[in-house]
Amino acid sequence: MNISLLCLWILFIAVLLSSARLCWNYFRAPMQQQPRVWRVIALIIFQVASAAALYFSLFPPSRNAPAEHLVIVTAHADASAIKSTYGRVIALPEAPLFAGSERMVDLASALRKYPGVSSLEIIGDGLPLRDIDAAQNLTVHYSPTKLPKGLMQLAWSEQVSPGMRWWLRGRVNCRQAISVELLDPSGTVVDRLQLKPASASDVNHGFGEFVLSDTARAVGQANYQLHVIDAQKKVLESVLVPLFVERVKPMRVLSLAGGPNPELKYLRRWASDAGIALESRVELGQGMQIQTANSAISAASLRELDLLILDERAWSAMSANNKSLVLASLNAGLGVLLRITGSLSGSAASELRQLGFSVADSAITQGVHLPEAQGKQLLPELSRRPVRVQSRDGMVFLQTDKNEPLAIWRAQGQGRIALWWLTDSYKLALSNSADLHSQLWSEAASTLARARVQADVLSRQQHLWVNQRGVYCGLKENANVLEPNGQNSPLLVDSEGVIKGCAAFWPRQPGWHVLTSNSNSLRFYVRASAEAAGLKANALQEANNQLLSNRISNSTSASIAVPGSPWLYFIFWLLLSALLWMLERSKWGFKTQTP
Amino acid sequence: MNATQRIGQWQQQARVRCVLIIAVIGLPIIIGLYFLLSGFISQQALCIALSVSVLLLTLLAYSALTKLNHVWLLRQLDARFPVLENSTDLVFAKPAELGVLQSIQRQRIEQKILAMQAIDLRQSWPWKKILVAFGIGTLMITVAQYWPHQTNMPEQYSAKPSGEKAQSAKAIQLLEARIAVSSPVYTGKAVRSENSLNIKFPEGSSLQWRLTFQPQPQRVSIIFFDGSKLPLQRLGDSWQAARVFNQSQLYRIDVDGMRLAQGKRFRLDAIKDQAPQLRVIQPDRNLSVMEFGQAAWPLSMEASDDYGLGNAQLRIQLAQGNGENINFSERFIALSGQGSSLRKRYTYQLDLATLGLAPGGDVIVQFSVSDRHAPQANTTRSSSFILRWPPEDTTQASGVEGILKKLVPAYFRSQRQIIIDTEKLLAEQKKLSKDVFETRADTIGVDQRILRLRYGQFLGEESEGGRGADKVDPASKENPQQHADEHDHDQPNKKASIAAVNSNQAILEQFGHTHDIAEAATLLDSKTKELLRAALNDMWRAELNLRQAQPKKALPYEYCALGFIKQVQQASRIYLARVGSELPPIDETRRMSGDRKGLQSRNDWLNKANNDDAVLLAFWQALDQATFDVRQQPDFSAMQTWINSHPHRAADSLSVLAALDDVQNQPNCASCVLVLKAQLWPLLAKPAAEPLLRRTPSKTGQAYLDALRNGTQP
Repeated sequence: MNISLLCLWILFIAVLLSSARLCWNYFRAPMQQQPRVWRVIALIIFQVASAAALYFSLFPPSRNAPAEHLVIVTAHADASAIKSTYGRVIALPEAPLFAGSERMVDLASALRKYPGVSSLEIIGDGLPLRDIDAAQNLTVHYSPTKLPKGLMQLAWSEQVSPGMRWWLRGRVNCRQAISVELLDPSGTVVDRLQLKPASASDVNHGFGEFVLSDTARAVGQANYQLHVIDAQKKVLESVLVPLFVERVKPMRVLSLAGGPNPELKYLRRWASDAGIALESRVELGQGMQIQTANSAISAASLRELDLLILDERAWSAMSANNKSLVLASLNAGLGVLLRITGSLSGSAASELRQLGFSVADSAITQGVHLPEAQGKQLLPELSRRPVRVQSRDGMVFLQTDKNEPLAIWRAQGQGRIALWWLTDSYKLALSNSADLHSQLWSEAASTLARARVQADVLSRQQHLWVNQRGVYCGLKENANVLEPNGQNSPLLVDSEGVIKGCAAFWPRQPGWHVLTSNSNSLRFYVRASAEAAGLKANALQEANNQLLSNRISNSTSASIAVPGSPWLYFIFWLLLSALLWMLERSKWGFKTQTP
Repeated sequence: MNATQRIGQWQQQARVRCVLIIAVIGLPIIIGLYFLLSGFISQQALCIALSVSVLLLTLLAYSALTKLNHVWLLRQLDARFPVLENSTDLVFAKPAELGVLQSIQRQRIEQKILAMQAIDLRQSWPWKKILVAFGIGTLMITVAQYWPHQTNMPEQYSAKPSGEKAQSAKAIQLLEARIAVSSPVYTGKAVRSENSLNIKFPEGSSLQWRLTFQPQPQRVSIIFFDGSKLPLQRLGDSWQAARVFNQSQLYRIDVDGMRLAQGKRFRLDAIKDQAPQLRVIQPDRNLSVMEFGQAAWPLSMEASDDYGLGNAQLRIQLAQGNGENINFSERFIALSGQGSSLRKRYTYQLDLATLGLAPGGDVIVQFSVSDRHAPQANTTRSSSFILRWPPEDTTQASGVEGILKKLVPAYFRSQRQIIIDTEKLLAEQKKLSKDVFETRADTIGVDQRILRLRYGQFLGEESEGGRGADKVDPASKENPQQHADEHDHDQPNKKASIAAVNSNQAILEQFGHTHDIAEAATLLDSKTKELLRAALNDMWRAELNLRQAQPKKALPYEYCALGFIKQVQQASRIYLARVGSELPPIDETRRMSGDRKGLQSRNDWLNKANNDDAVLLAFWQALDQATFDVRQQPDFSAMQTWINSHPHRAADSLSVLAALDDVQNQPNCASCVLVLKAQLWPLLAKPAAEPLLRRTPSKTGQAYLDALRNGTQP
């Protein structure tokens, strides 16, 4: 029940009571003193009217006012652009102050001061992020200014582990033939891409987009640089790519093999070098094996496992009980990688069919090549098992340079199962491409292994500038940010509502920051405000362009409801009350006029 | 004193004044120039510039002096003193040549001159010019003094005590610093002395410091970055010490426990002695085949070294025999070369006969050359070069296409060569007799035939073996087209007469046809085969016309054939399917079924790759920590030890050490950390890729997945 309704009830009851009193008096009074009917009716009408006037003076009805149009001047606005506009001109703090414009601290203040605004015209770079929310329900006219030449978008792999191949994607705003170079922290160019000049038709087709990559090294901060280079070999722009290589939780892997071979040897070597908690068993036949301490299969051991790598011989040799255990664990989230290195027995093929794979021998060439990055060294020829594997809902996660699959996985329950029929990836390790070999297996393991890490609790904004709000979610009460100068700033975490566990942080100085919340920590980089201007301008324009898409439909409506003035009703109520009082006091309308 | 002498005196004075004026004006400018240039050019260039300017000044003075000659003197006297009645020249004239009147006049003038007071012919001092010259000179010196040029003059270094004692104690100035470098004897370099504390020197040099300080310190020592220390001995005014260096080093100078120039680092760069460079000129290939009648094998090579070449050697190995019975013998010959000690050319004639080379034998030679590096000379060896005396033709004439079976590849005429030959023949047709013309046309026809047979093999055509290239088959000559179509189906007896008897191949040749050798035929796709067939047909026609001595008619067919062959060459490549090693399936029942005594299951000990980078990795991460908290300094000494124990990991480990030192001394320097990280980055090895763990889906996501899996509406 809100206050206006409450007042309405009070007034209603008051009018009702006083009317009842008038009626009571009318019927109880002796005949001589009985007032005339019209007097009673007039009094009741005046009371109702007075109550209504009082109510409206308290809660004046909103009126329709002509909609107002505001011109918002933002940073880098042009004086000439204002001349062609109409309406009140508001200058935001970043904007230059022109004659006739009014300075306001932010858009929300301007909207409070000038109610009835239905449309905004934005001049200059666009509304800063803090004002975006205020403009959410308004019609916005915004013609973006031309973006500077250079880098517009940049994003890199969110989570990078040591040795992993990480990717850097971006877009450059330039029509000329330019190239982009990725420089490692020592200043050596590690990847380079030549972008061809754009023709007119290319403009809308992702021109200027590029993908670069490098192999991550040790855990820690690595400041890469991205150079945008024009046709004259001059560096147009140099943007820092702050990469943080994280320490990852070790994966728990069990490897079962029907016999030793070089592929297994290099697979196990990679696993032990990559910090994987590896258990392994190699059957030698006739009950003999080489094994680690905890390589036996049991329900408990499988529960503690992230990934099971086995070959078809180990699978065939596995007891039915163990197989059912493995399948149950697979449904519960275990990752299973089955390497096909020899011919499959009929029973194995039918078991695989039940798991969603149809495997058939096929007369295809065994020699295959993996796709190579341009300008990289020639990879050796590898072999695959000549089988054709089909799966209705399978995903290919390794293929040849001719796009023929070499490995397919599919989801089974909560887990994932994959077939892999590349038989000699170890040749990569032997031919000076050991990093590729390890990346191949690392990517496979990352795809298949059990989902064990909590979904990313801390949001990741890859670009953050000084004095710009960063938002972090999934925080606990004690979250704080360690700033480059060593100062520790606690964060104010929202404890309820839809943004529960979120907090904002306004960085004060450029450099690396560490956000800590309980045991989680996030390392992020803050750029100086002048750094990567193109990225910043583009991000602003994109946010403003989204406002354009949010525009409300009836942008042509000429009026808008605004709160009405109570004074008119108040005067009316005063007059009515005075009349009522005079009528009450007067002797008009009584039946008998006493002489 | 007569009048002439008197006038001479006056002239002399004027001349001296003139020289003085030029010197006073010129010298300040020259001195200024010296100071100005000394900042920019070397000492030698400075000397040259100085002498040139002094010479110029002298020339100027000389030319000014020559102006003050007799004529000038007479004019001055006549113009200034009317008393002399314009007759001064009579004084200098020879008395014998004068007339009576002139003699009288001369006597008068001489008397007048002697009677005159000493007159001043000297030019007055041009004060303005002198002032300007001095001004310019001073300006030059001032500019030179304040010009911002780097100076490695060690005089600027001083050691100040830090902290509270700073006021009381006086800074110790390094007045002079010289390092004498005595290079190892083998380099042949003289002892040189440099007046800088950073120097480069050949490895193994002995460096001797000589430092002079003001005021005299109590003790001075040199502290190296590898932890060693070299105390300096006081000898008279200077402090001295010497040591031999085989490696580059960084060092500091410690004066009375204080660091010179706030601990500035100085660099000693040891230049490594390079192994000699060796270039073999002859032979120009690794495997040469001995030519007929070759008696000697000329060998030559060129070698160069940075400090001087030592011995050169030729290793000769002789491999004689065949099959499994090969004997090797080895000998060494010292070579003497011609040229300077830095670059020499060695030649040697290897006499094959004295060596004892026989057919089927190989001579293998290898050059090696050393430099004079002591104690262990650097030696470079060339690759091996082989001279082969090919064994006598071992394949017997089996009757099957002898040419293609020879060990030395047959040299076919190419289709283009056949065209060239044909055109040449046509051009010369008029000059040649009919017989010669026909013979030559026929020879070209034979070439064409050989080429056709060679290409025909790709199509699985039978080889027309045994007949020899030059034997003309009468049937083919009469009706070659028909021959081609029929493939001699009805002439088995003719082949039988030629083919060898006891060979399976021959039997096949005799009674069967090898049209469709699957191996050969499946190599090419149908389109390529079509092209080849067209080429062969044209070759056929060309051959036909050549054999009939009508090269003009053959030419268009030759061109067509060439065109087709080029197309075949450019056509899609031939891919051979690689069949993997198809091992027979493993019979598990037989596995390990032999004698298993002593065999048992064993534990698998997986060891991580031996990686001694732990210190480096820990330091790399500690550096990140240190940027947040200055108190958490990484372990610099461990890192320093690591770099010193891995000198070859970094291209320039001194720079790494220097960057490390900067960070250690300036904990708040953010850019120093970046520089150090840039230096350390190349040292970080690419680790084995670690897999990332998948993230668990959110609650909503999991519910959605479950619903999908159960087939219900999510």
